[in-house]
Amino acid sequence: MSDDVKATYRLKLHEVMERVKNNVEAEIAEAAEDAATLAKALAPKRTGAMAASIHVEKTDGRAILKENFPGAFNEFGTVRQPATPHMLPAALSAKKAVVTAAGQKGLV
Amino acid sequence: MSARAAVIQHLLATGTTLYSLVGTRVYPGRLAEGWNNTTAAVCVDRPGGAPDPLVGVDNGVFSIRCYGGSPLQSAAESVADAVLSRLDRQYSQSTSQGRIVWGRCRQRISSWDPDFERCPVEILLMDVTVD
Repeated sequence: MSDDVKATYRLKLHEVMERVKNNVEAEIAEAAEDAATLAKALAPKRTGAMAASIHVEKTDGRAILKENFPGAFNEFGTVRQPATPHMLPAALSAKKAVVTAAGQKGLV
Repeated sequence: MSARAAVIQHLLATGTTLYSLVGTRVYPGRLAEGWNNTTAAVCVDRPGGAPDPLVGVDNGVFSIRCYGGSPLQSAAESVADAVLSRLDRQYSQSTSQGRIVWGRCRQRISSWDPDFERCPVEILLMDVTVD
């Protein structure tokens, strides 16, 4: 294989990788917003402050689902309080949505 | 078949490091009424995962809270280590409630419990497949 052909393949491969990355990033961002909505719906509410604190931070192609401090005690439970998982089920559904979308839309 | 029952049964097996630490204090969902942080205990929850009917297995996501029965984080860590030695990267473990096909620790979180003063807890997020 000549150097020209190799260079062309390399360029094409790079283009495909960029396209996949951009498409998947868009799906991840969308799924993360859906996950935040689901987590807010699942979260236990007294004043609603904890549920309101649930948000998505997007950085470098990744989306991180976050909530404020006391949320972990609700998520995992304590000695006297049973767990009310809301972040983990939401994150798992987002992961499933991204994988499904990638398969259906032929993103990868 | 309940994946959580199989996991609890597996953690209750005698003759293990975990058993020497927590004995039969492995609870589903929440700790026993009246428990205080003088005895080690483990609490098993299943916040996610779903059965896979095609393969015939149940892929569970578990959160396992490990209490050391002491104000020292290291005591809770010892219990968590013992739980991991029973479940993490363990394959084909039979119990009376089903077979644990494999287990994997996703994440380990060091925290404390707000319901007791100086009550450290180690939380393990685990993927466990049961058939």
